[in-house]
Amino acid sequence: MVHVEHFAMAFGNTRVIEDLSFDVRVGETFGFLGSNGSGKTTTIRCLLGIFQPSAGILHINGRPFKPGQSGELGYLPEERGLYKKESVLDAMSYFGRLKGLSAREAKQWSLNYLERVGLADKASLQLEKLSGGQQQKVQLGVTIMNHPALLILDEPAKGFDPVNRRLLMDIIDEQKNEGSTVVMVTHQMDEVERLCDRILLLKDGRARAYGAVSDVQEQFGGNTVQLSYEGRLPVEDSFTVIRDNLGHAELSLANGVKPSALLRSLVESGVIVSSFTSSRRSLDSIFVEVYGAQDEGE
Amino acid sequence: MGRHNLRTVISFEVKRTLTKPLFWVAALVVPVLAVAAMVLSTLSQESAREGAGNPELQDIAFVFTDESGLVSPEVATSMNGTKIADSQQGLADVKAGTVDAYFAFGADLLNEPVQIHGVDIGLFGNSGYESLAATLIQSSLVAQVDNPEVAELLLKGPTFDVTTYQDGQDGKKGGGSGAMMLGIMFLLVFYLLIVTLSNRMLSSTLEEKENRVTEMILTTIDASNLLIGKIVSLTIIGIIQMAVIMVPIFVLARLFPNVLPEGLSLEQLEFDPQIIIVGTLMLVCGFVLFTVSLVAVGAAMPTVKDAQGVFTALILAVMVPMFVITQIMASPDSIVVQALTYFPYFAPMTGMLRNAMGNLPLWQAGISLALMLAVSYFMFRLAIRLFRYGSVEYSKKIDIRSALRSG
Repeated sequence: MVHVEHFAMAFGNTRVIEDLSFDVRVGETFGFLGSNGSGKTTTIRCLLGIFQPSAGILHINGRPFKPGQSGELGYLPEERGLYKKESVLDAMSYFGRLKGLSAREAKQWSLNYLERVGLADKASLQLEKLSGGQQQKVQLGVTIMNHPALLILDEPAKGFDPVNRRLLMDIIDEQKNEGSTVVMVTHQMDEVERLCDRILLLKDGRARAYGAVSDVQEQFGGNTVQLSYEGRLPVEDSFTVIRDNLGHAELSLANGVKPSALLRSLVESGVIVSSFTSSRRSLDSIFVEVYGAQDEGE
Repeated sequence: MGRHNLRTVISFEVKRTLTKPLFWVAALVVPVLAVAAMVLSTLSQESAREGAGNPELQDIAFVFTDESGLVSPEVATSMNGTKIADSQQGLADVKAGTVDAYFAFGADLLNEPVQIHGVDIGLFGNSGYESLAATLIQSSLVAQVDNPEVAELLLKGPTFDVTTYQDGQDGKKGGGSGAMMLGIMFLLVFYLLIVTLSNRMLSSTLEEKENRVTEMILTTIDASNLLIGKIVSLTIIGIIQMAVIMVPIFVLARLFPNVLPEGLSLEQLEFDPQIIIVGTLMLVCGFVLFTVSLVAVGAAMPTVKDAQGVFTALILAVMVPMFVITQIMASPDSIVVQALTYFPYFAPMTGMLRNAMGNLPLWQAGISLALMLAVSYFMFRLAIRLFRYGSVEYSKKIDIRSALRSG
């Protein structure tokens, strides 16, 4: 569905992206992750033809994206809004027509959607008269008009209240079930773990990690253990300490080390373990490891 | 798809403008004011005419003294006037209110003003005293002429029909006042378009930025198509607005010719093809240049407030020729006028004014139009680049060099 190969982008002398390659497969949910300023939004803008890339190939469905394909695309940008002086129905219908629907289809689609999200009685109101949450609902409706085959959501939960965040997740699930491909640009790791099949971690314009979620977790030390203890943790090659505070620690196991072996080793070295839980390493902790120092500086 | 979306943008932009009451208020204010001005002007002319022969002014009782011997007591009597000998008495009568006015005609009417003293009857009424005194002296002089035709000629004056020829002997007629009127109308339409539409031009791209719509919209329509759609819709709106402004004025002027200022009539219009073609091209090119320039300014600035400085400069640039209007009319070959003719932002007004005066050669009009079109095209390309690049610069002014380097 999406193919990016040796993509590079520079603004003047500032290089934003360097030699980035990845694919998004049909029907999957792809997490495009990175800290602020890592180049995520720039990549999406180049993919959608808003910017011209300095080098590389960026294709959607085997060709560079053109606005003529807009019926196949649902895009929720990070910076988003609508024509506030227009009525809800007029603004939605306008985008529907731009996405290839007829005037009648666009109007009908909009009315059905407004009915679904409880805004049917607001159809003729100016958008600026709606509350922030209601405007977000309309924004989501515009994004998924015409049942797009590819949904690109840039920081989708940004600024959304809990109700609309729930609506967003439902919509993403629906689109997935209907066969849409979803690209999520985010740093909400809980969403990524719940929704994404594969991810790419972008750092300083380069891919820091790329693949299935489980593969990336494996790459950064697949298993972790959380334990409560008394005594002093030994220094060993079999694990690294992710977090250690007041007798509670999270450890990342080295490749091939089993949790039971670690527990035995700790007990044998005199550590009194009162609780011990094994799990896969969370994306959140991977994100902190990759971007931690950088984000503190921002 | 691109063409389809172009039509969608045009219909959306035109429809949403025409459905806003403010548009119609702004459009109708001009004809209403114009009609009001015409009616006021007519009233003041009527008032002056009334001073000359209106029964109401003839009811004014006046006295006069005459050292010149040119004022006929008989004529004065027919106009409800009486000759007296004592100027102090005349003044006293006015102050006492026993007569409405006292006119003191001196010995040398060519060099001495006629002294008029009258009861204050308001702005228009007071001007009637002057007309009454002028009519008195004029009628007195005419009364001394035996030939009735000569008398009428003296009263009404002759009429004139002027024909001039360009370039000496080639026989081509120059534009008369009727052709000039037509040329001036292009200038008037251009001015009205700038006044009524400039804010809409500026906000046409700023709106997308201020509302954070740019990115979403650029995935549905190419930036150049979007901007073409906006410019076409502004043109359509401009045509509608001009129709709303001009049609009522023309209809009124046709039905009630008296509402036009004295000396003007639609029958005077001369439809000189050159003036019409050059005027139309100047109007269209000037409008396009101004529109794309404001669209580019809107694309570069984050808010209307930030754009105000450049906006004002552009408006002033377009209006600059009006500050040297006498030079444009009298000395079309001067360096200043030539510079104004060829500098694209000064060219529309200068060209239309010279075209109306009949002193704009075709080759100069051609160069001026070509330069306007070239700058319009450059500004259009710049606007597209700025608009596309501006989608990431929502909250600050765009660095134009960065935008041009962005590919």
